[in-house]
Amino acid sequence: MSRDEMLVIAAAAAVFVIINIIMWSIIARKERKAKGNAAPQINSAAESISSVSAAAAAEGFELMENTVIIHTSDRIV
Amino acid sequence: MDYITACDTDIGISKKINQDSVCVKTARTATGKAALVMVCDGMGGLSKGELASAEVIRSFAEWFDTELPFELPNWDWKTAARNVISRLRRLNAMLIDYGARNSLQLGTTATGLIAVNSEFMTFHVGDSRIYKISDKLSQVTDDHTFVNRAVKMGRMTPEEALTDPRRNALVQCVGVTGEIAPEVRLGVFENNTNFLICSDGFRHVLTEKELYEELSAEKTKNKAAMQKQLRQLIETVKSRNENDNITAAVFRAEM
Repeated sequence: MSRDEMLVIAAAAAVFVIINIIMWSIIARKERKAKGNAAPQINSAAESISSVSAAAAAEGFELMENTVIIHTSDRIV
Repeated sequence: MDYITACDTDIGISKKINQDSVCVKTARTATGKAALVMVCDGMGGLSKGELASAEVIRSFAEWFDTELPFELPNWDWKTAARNVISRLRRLNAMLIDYGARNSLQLGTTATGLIAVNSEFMTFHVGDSRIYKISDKLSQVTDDHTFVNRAVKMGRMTPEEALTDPRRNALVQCVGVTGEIAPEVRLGVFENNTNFLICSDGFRHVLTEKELYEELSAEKTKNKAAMQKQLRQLIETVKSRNENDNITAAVFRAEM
């Protein structure tokens, strides 16, 4: 293998490494951004949401089972 | 008549956030029994998917507690179906608006069952599923995915759909697509029939045979057994390296 050929291979390898570094930096930045956007997780996953009014109770409405599992306390208002 | 129901959810083995939400509510009313069982799968690739699924679940949960009691005396399934479709469309518009204002894209599937005495309605947007488990297992809902639509139009075979890179692409979900056309079906409960509502993370690595055998009415005689079977299947899913969040609920009306 001539010196020129070795130089071409070395240059190609260097370009490959540089492209990889740039690509993974972009991916890592996007992941950090997505993580930053994620809503805070509720430590205890289960949240009991019950708002049966007295009027509804008077109508004979009685909750027997009430499981609501969500994973954020954020709201859209 | 009695309703037996259970639900479970798990973050899974590789995600940092559980974006799924699930709700199981049953009530004794002056006119009998009522129930809401619902699963929402926040979109994995989208930021704040957990907020989208939580908002949809909260909306239906609040409806169950605050509006349903006053709707029951004049209950009419066609009106109920129209109201569910309107609610899903309002939630869709709300999530799209929130996303636009905050430069985010957030979305969720919405799949559930509303029961009033011996009758029920299923409603569905996305690729979560409802299965009916009686003497056989049948899929009640349609997958609102690109590949399912292509198969139905004869542009792709079911085998090709299984490996197509677009197999997870949805044609509609709440919060992403401008217009949604929720799928709504009405029905009457039959004896010894379970309904499974699950996210795609629950069903991907389980066979229909496993779902049928492990979640039959015989193996889920009471709530504790239902809960145990669900947890066991979730552990099986995790052991098979499913990457998604895993959520499922089971419901049965006992005549």
